[in-house]
Amino acid sequence: MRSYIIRRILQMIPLLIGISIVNFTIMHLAPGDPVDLLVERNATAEERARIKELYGLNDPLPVQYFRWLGHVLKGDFGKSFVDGQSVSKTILERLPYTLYLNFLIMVVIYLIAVPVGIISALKQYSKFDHIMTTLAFLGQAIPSFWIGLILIYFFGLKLDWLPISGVGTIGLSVKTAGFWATFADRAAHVVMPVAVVAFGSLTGVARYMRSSMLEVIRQDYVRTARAKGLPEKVVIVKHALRNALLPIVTLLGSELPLLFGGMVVIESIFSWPGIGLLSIRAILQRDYQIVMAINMMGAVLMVLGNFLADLLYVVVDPRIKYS
Amino acid sequence: MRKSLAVVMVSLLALALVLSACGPKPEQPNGGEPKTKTVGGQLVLGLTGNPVTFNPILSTDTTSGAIIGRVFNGLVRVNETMELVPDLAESWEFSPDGLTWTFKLREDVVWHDGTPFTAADVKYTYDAIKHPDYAGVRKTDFKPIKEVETQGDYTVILHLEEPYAPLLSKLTIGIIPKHIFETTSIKDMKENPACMQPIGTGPYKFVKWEKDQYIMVEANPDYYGEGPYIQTVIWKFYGDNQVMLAALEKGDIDYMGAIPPDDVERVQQALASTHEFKQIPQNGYTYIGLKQTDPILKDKLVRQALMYGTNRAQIVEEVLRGYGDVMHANLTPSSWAYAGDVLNPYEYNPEKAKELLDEAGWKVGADGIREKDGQKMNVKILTSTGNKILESALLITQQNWKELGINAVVEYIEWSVLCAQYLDVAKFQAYALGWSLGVDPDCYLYFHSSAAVDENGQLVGFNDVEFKNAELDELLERGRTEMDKETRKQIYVEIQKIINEELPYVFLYRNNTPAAMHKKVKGVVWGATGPLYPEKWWIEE
Amino acid sequence: MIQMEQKKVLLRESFGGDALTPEPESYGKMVWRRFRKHKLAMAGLYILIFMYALAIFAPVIATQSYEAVDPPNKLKAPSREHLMGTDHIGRDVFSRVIWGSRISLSVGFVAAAVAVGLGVLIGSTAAYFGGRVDDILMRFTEIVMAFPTFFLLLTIVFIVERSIFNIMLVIGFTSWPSLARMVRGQILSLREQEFTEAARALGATDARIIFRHILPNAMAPVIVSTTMRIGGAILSESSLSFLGLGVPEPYPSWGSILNAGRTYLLQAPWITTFPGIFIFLTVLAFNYVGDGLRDALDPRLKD
Repeated sequence: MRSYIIRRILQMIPLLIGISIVNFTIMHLAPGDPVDLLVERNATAEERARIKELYGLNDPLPVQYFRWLGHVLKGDFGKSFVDGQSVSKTILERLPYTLYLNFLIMVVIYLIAVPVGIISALKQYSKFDHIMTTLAFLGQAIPSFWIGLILIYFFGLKLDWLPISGVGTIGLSVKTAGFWATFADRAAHVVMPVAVVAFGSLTGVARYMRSSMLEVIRQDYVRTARAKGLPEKVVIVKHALRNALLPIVTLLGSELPLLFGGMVVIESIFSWPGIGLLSIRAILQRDYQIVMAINMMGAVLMVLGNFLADLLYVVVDPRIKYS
Repeated sequence: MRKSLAVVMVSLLALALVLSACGPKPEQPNGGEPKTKTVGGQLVLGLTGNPVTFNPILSTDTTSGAIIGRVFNGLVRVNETMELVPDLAESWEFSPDGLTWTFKLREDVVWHDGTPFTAADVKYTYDAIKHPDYAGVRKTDFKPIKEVETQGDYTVILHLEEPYAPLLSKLTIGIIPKHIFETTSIKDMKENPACMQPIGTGPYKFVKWEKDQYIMVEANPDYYGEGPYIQTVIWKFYGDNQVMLAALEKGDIDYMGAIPPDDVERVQQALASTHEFKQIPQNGYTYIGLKQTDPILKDKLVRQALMYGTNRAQIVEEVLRGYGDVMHANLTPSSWAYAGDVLNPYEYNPEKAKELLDEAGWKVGADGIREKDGQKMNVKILTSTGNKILESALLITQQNWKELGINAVVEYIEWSVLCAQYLDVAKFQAYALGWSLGVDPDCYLYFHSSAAVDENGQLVGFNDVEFKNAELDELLERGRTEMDKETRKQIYVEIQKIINEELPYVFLYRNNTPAAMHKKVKGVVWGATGPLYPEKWWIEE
Repeated sequence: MIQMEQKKVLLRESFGGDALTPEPESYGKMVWRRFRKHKLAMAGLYILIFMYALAIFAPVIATQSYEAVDPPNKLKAPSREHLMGTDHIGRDVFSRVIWGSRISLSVGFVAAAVAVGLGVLIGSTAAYFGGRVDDILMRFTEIVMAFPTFFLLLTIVFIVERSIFNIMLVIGFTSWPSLARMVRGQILSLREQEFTEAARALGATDARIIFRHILPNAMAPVIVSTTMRIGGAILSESSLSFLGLGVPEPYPSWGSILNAGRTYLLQAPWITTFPGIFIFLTVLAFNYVGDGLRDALDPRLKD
């Protein structure tokens, strides 16, 4: 096991370099040139060349790549072509909002989906199971912008219970309004985005949980446990649940990178100042420095998430051996 | 103007998601003498899109422009009839040969940090734009300036290479403070902190910008002109137009500048008692560019048939819900040089269109498609994805053209691909896009033969349809060098007549964007292209 | 329906082969008999047959052209003439939804098939062989996971062209990795179970162990994931339309109709509602069929 862990950690370095090369190459092969946003459309070839030179865009791709890599290894993601600001600073400004929203979403999803999945499985084809299944698929089939807008019209506008968008009321802070008022304000702002994303993604987790639970309770060792006369609770919790959680753990690992930039629609609808909005804007503006930084951070999360998930397999199912 | 295509289209593309914009603005004068103007209060404006930089000479997007307009001043500004009036410059005069322009500056202006504003700031700003390392979109505007000279602290003299009348309209650009920016090189100018926390001379001082949340400015008590009265102005960011609309209804914002035409009726009913609804005529238009060298489109009769055969009135009526005007040539009714009634309106007349096509030799074939010399009448219109109004307009156009016996196809292409593969290399049969225009009627870069494609196949200006007309060339050249406004107007009327007759484009429409402003905001002057003079507005609860 | 057929073929291949021992009832028949007993699955199957029939007979069923615009009659509520109302340019939503089933069902099916095929192949190979093979395949999987999808699509559109088929392939080729990881996780556990060891001890070949013993047991999450993925792919096509890379106008897909209606949610809810219902029904039907299949295929489930 220890050698496996060491091996995996060592693999991360070439892996991340590989990912960065692939990303860098695809991005630069795609049409669209950041220079187009810096100069006029009727700029002469010389003018364009001069600006490209200044920004180092004339160099061959490998040269540009290694220059980028050199900076990144020193912890510097460079400066945006578009606004000249430090990329790290720009991302760090938005990161807290993204993490805050996603953390709440994850908690809500898993708190609801895991029990729902278990009950659905234990009472397969019961009314509860059917209702949950239908609801879950409703959640998946309805695009999040639709639910988002409906909630905004209903709770935000018609009933006037919740604020429409943003993270908080402008000018309201702990200093001006006290802790609890601020807390209530922030909470009111986050309810709808969390609800929309959770409703949409519960499906996946609940379905996986259900099917994996179904799978497990048919296994011989669960039958054996039952046959031994163990109480149902013990059978479910001690024997079935542990194994049924395995695919869920995998899912969690692969969802980590989604935290990063996978929320464009929700962030636009609720005007949430997170990474998703930043990322789509950077993509459209061909702000390569920002796109690369976000992609690489996402990649690191993904690689770590997968690694973690692989380790968790063993915790959940000690039979698994990595050679 | 030049930046327009790239910037406007990128904006449009991202409309719902990101960029694009609708600035700030506001209400209307109530005819009678205003009551006492109260000082104070807060105005909240809706904003889609995220500003890029608050540096007037680097900024390209309308979102930044909205804020820049309140924080900075140019030598001249545009008034409600789109004429140029004094701002930082008190007065100016042109030498008889039009080569020397002398500006007298106001002497009572200070920067927001207390430093006095002088001619050196003006020189610094213009020189920065002319600098080879300058990476922005104003270079062409300032090319005609040979040298910027200062005399004392309050006189600026521009020496021109040749007379160039449109230049005055370019001097609306905000002047930036030399003492702040001279610490960074021109190449690194955008990294200067003042691009994010601007220091200007305008009626409002920048306070703070929370990215993708809001921007706040406050009244500048030392402003040299009248006002400002409203103490705080906030632009609140919305990532989605429909949500901004809900915010307007809820009262979270006082002004929304680009209400989707299809929503106006409903919102207007809901907010009739509290809000004033206005139209903001856009100084720009949407068109279908026709490659003048194309075997089918090179025939003027065909181009005129397309104009007659496109139900443009229906597009304005149904797609824009009447919030727009049908265009007949290349200047909008907002321009002082607009030709108006002398233009052929090409009212929708499919019969006439068919006759013209017959006359041009395109006969209806067995399959209903016209043909000539064995060639089918196939027309492919390229356009960018993401602009829903244009998409709808083209669906109507396509159907209209099919009814004429033309096999019209519209192809929607992602913006960067459209540019790289077709527009930048001027390879297409027809394409549909929009131009946003400057204050000056000059359109040399769009229609002069020298602005077409050079011998290497490189596009020189924006004349990608390769329209070439000797008479027009001559007029365009005169229009640039003539300094007398009345004479210029006559020249541009002639230009519009030729374009209206020859049709490098099928002209479609211009938008008059519906806007709503809360009635508590008083003193708003609605100009030819929107609400003006924000420093003179006040709030009456 | 096609989905079903495909599944059966796939399963027959994986279970058949050298295993053609005389049985009282063929495997396919047995599965079908078990499947039929599952009421919801049968209902799902009928819905899918219905949907595919709509797609196949679209030219007959659609009452009007999917592209003919009629601006004066835009945003009209459902009526006898326009069963599902009209959209923002006066096109008949009913006809667009019917025609749209062609694109949406194909996108869902092809993208999911590509994703599942690759995911199962790579995931099971990696898990079964482990070690170096696992390392290489899983690191490759991670590289694909980190693909910048938007730029990839742009590049493909630029180099090849924007066609519906290319879009399906890209959705499929970028969405297999999570499935591969899931299959691998599942198999890692199965590999160590007694019946696998027993088979190995009896001298079964690798392929036989994978296909005959391990895969059938790992099928459950795969089927669930497939059925979910079809819905996901139908919706991803719509988000691509949103970025200008999906199925272009005037061709309808459920996703693009839905997207175009998003700004008319209040004024003309029918534009979004009807394609939404079709997506929902399809996703639900696939899911129930998936449930039924899983039960029917489960080697441990006796009937």
